[in-house]
Amino acid sequence: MKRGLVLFEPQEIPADEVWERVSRLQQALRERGVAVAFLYGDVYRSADLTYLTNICIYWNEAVLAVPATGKPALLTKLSGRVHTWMRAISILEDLRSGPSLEKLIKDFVQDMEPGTVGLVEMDWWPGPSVERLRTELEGWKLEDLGAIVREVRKLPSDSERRLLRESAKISAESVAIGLPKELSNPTRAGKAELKARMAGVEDVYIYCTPATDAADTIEVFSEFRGYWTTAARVVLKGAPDWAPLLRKAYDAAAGRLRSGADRKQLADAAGGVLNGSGLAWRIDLIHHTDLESCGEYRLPGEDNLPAEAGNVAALRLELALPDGSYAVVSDTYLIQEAGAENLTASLPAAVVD
Amino acid sequence: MQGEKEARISRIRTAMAKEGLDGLLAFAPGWRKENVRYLTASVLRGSFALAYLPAVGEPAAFAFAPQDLQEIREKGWVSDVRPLSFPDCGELVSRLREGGAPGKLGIAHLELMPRVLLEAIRRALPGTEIVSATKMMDRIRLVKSEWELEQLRRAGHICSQAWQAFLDVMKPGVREYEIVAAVEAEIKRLGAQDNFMLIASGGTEVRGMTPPGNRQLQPGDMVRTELTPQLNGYWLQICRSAVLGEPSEGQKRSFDLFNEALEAGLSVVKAGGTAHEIACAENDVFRKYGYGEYCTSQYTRVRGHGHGLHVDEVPAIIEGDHTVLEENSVVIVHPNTFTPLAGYHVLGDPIVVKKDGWEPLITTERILFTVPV
Repeated sequence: MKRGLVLFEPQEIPADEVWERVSRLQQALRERGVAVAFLYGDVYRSADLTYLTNICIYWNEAVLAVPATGKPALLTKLSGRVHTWMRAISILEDLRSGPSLEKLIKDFVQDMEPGTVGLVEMDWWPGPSVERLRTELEGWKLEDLGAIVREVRKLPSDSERRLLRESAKISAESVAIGLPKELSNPTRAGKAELKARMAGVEDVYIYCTPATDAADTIEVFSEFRGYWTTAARVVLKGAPDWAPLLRKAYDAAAGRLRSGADRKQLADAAGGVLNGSGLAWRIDLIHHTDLESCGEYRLPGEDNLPAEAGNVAALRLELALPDGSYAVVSDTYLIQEAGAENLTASLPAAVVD
Repeated sequence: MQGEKEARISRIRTAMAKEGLDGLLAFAPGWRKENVRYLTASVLRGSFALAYLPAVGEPAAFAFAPQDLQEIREKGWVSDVRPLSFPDCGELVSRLREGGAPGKLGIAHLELMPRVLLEAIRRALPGTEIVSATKMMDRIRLVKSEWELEQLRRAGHICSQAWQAFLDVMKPGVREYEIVAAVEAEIKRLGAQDNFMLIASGGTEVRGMTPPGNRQLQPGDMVRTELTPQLNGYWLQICRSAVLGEPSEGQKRSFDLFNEALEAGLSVVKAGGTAHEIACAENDVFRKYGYGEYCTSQYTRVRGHGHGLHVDEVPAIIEGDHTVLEENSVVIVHPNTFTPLAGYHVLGDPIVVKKDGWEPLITTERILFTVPV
């Protein structure tokens, strides 16, 4: 849950750049004839809202209202007592609190001429909320805007790339500090947690789990100023047969990363090593925009789109082991035309002796 | 644990019968996993999981993350464990239809269920009445078993150690987020899986707590926190405030006020009492000293709340909430609010409600902590 450093640092991302993101969305709304867009977020998944305003939804749920013209507003179930803090850490000035997001939405549009309301990623909105809005927004048409913000986020700006590099550095260093094989998993987790949080992450997920008796996995997902990256390594305590296969398969897949690569190609590369091993495995290429939920909010098809130069994405290979445990290796990459730069390359090889 | 599982299923089915439910579907989004945990005894990491309990027959569980599927299988409370896939949710709807679709299906956290999932269920069960079972499950989870209380007692040890870690790192110049970092590291080192923590440092200008900033501590600051480690799914909170250096008269008077309010709240705790009564007892102390206005929603949210598999369970300890606290409910009593004496102040202890009183869940003393400069 979000309890790391929350900051709005204009030297890292200028306020003008954040406002430009809002303006671009507003332009898209005007072109589509949508009067206002609403974006739903909760403490678990809210990166689109952070992208557009730098707000941190540190608890509960909220909706960001972005009219086609005019200033955005945050509609939140959090109390008005935190509005001062919210203004200090975001570009937002208009903050509205209440127990019902649907009522706050209805109030937001009440003085507007009924037209089309756009819900960003309507599929992931709470279903009962959508049903209530259909009833309560009389005269308004509801349109699904899809991943209109997330798609734009997939090509980070120069400022964003700098923050992604910093986030990746933190992910790598947090994994690195947990690599000594004599550490217990709780001790690894504690060290990684301290490292990441002292570096200023807003949120971090750390998983230190056994991968049979012969190894442990340490996997870190870090959010730095709203930008998520990940890294994972397997720490060997013995010499399991599957370890060389995992290393070779991961390297084969990593070697295929470039503009145009998709998950099927990566799977073919890893499969060249792992197929026939008797082990179940899964490979994924998760855009940084989807790392806050480990890619679990992607609908079929979304998870197999080809990468483009400029994307920042994580390559993640997961091996299911016979005793029910998992071994995971991952890095975060900047995709390029003819290859990929490993942003977590400070880490040693995928499987660490 | 088998006894624990059977007891839970029995309680849920009794409640289901009262509500006329043929099936209960517990939904766990990323931040509200309590009901699926309750049914599967599993610590889940993924974004989506569900557990289905029919009125008659075996339960089933569904998860997106492979590790969650494995965890549920290993815990052994549910043997029918199936993957969840979007948008068709094939395994889920197939199971819901097995043996005939339920006439009335209660969904716990229906309010948070994504449209893509809810519509798949509605399409698959066109004749089924779907209602919310969120409040039903909240009431069921209110009373803890002895096994659950033992988990909460263990979480209480971590609270106390985490608070010590908080004090150990306090010094002039340290930044708020660095304090949180030290506490989080200690909590994880002790084996907790998660934490909910807010903090605020400064003087009378502090109106509430938030995630940490990069403000550096100065002598004279009061540093407030609520920290809530989660161990094996169970969350427990401690609220304390500490002063860097010698406390001011205002800070001392504030502590005395809050401590008296907390003691007053605790003095009325007993099985059969209500959340309202506890809140009134706390607030009456503030009113006695002329600080009654600071008990309103302009300054504070609640005067305590429940604990368990969710960090902020029912009941809210607030005037007007007449939830009856049965024996073995677990709540934190915390009169946290702003006053002009010292700014926002937090002080709170989690307890188990007992027949004639309460049992403490933490050992940390209740004083105005000071850290020498």
